[in-house]
Amino acid sequence: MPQSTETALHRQAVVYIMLDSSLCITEMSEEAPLWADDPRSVQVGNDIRLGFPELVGAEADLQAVLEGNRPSLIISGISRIPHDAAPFFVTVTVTLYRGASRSMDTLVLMVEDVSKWMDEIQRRTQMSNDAIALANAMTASKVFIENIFDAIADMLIVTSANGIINAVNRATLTLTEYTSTELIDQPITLILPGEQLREGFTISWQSAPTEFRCVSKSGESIPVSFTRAPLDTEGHVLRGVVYLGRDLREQKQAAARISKLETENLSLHEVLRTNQDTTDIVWSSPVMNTLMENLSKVAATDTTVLITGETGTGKELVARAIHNLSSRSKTMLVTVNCAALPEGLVESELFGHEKGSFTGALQKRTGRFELADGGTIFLDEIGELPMATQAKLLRVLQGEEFERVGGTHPVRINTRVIAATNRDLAAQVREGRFREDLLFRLNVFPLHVPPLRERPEEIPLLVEHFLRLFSRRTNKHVTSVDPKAMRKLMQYSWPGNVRELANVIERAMIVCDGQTLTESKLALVDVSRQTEAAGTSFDEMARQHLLRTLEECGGVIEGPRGAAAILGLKPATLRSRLRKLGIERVGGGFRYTS
Amino acid sequence: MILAKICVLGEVSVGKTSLIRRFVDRSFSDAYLTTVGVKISRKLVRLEPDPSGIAADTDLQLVIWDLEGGHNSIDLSSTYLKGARGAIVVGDLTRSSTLDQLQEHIDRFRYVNPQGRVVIALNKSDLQTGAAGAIVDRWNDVAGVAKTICTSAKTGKGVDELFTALGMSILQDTGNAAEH
Repeated sequence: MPQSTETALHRQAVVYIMLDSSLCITEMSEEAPLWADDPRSVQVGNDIRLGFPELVGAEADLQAVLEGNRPSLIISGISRIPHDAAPFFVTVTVTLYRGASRSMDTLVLMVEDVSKWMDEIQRRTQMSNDAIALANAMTASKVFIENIFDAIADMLIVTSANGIINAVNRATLTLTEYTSTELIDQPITLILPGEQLREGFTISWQSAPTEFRCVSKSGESIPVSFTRAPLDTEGHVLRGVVYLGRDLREQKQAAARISKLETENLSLHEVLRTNQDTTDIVWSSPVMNTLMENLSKVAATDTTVLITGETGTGKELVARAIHNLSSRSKTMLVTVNCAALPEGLVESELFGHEKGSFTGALQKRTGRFELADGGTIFLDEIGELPMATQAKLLRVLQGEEFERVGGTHPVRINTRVIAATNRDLAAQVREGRFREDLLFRLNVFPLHVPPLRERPEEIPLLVEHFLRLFSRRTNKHVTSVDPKAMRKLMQYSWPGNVRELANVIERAMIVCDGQTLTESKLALVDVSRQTEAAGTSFDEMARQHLLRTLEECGGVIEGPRGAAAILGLKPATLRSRLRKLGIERVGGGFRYTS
Repeated sequence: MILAKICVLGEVSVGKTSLIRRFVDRSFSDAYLTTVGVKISRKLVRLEPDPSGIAADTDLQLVIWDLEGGHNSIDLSSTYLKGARGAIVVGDLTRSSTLDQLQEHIDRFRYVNPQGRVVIALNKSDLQTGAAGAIVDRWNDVAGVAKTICTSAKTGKGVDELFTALGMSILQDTGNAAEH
């Protein structure tokens, strides 16, 4: 390198490095390594990029300078942070130094310390960037707090002391369906119409959780439990209020579900208890054939059915058969015995109640009608329903909706109603104890279950059915009934109908030791005859008693097993009484003749 | 050993220098000092074999250019960006405005280096409270972005993965170029 060039470079107070075409160092100032990123790498013969990494990637530009296609390459403002000296900035400039021939052309890399200018730039930049960083930090802090606000699943509302909304979180916007622009600067009563704004709260004030109705933009009234607390005070003057609210819908729905499940559970237990092994109807008589035909026809519809019949005839079995044959068979059949419900609680049982609607209503209760939504409700002994409840039932039958006790909103249901009674509802209507309009509504499709005495031909079939049924229950193997016993069963009047027959058979099976049920094991009590006797004159009662005793004695009057001995009378006295009461011997027995 | 210049770009105070310090020096400082001009660091990365076999036991010398934040010196930075094989474009997860600028930085880099590889660092994930999954998915779908990674220079989360991802991408590019 010519001496003049070297002098010129030194005069400019920079260090220089000469490079060949492969970017290797050919010559350099003594101080040059001190300006490098890695001083140890800056040696003659080494690749310049080892000490000056800023030239990595600049190969194409360096080649352009070398070929004269570009005057220079300048990379300015590169910071150097030595381990043992203060940081400084350099600017690297690469230019072409032309040799005597093209092959002697070399690149000259000049490194200049520009710390003086860069420090000033850095100072000014730092000042402005500190301001930016502070603003950023504040923004980040605000974002951070907003993120926390929005992460809270409950509603969070901040208002001024006079109830103007200052801030809301995302949960509030989601629940109320408002945007934040629509809520900010609006009174809290926009979404909490029930809030009573009060002034002068002190720092000690904090409300217990209170249930509010929060009104959404679409008008939906949502139950929300709010806790309110003073935001901050200055001299015991409220500056604002923080509302922390929890949506109660899920909680209420869960409570309703639990209540429904509890009632359903009770109902299912009841079904299990009352219908275990007795879900089949056994019949063979023409009158029952007609009933079953009508039953299958009405089952396919949603028509209200009124089942009438004496006690023990199997009205509930008929109701269950209607439900099982209907399209609602996969849903619940809810059975309610109206006579078994305490008078004060009938309405609550049937229609449910809201929490706090009366003393003891500690929580909301789902009524039987709501429980049977989508299914069937069987109202047994409907004739026992109080008049006030009859009116509400009429509304359900007419409009398929009702209100819970203490409730303000109608509850719509889709429930099929089957009612049953052993009373003469028409007579009750005449006596003013049953609503006529309700009777008309219930009596859309009447089904009458005949008493057992009107279909005695079914008794052997029923006896056989009960023998099979109770064999399992009593663990006895009674397979037949003695003909005399069967005759006695056929002759009995069965005031308690099929239920009484079932009880008689069960009791007989318990005391029976063999495989055949005998007459002696049957314990028949003809309550109806006793009841009839109680309602008649003394002569009629005496007449029936004498006839029964004579029948039991096989028509024998005298002797130790004769009727006179049993009645404690002399045979002559008995005969005299028989004549007086119009009882005469006819064939082998006695009969009342006039 | 392969030598590759990469640039780290992004808005002011997103944590570019901190990411580089965490990667190169394994350190972090809360003190904020604006980067003026450019600071160049070097780090030798040994890339483990990957399923494609491209990066099998390759030493990659990354020459990392830490550029001044923002767009103040756009003309000057064109010189800085020239010759870079890849860029890490950094956004601050706690400041959405810095994320909005990511595309502009990518475009600036691509204008100078059309073939350059880009990975995105969503930094300060330790301060972010919400889920960043949607943001990651959004940037992963952007054309030319090799990968988007949530990072924290403070905790070191995702930092090595970030630089390695860019290194792998550069090597794949090198491999593809060699094949063609």
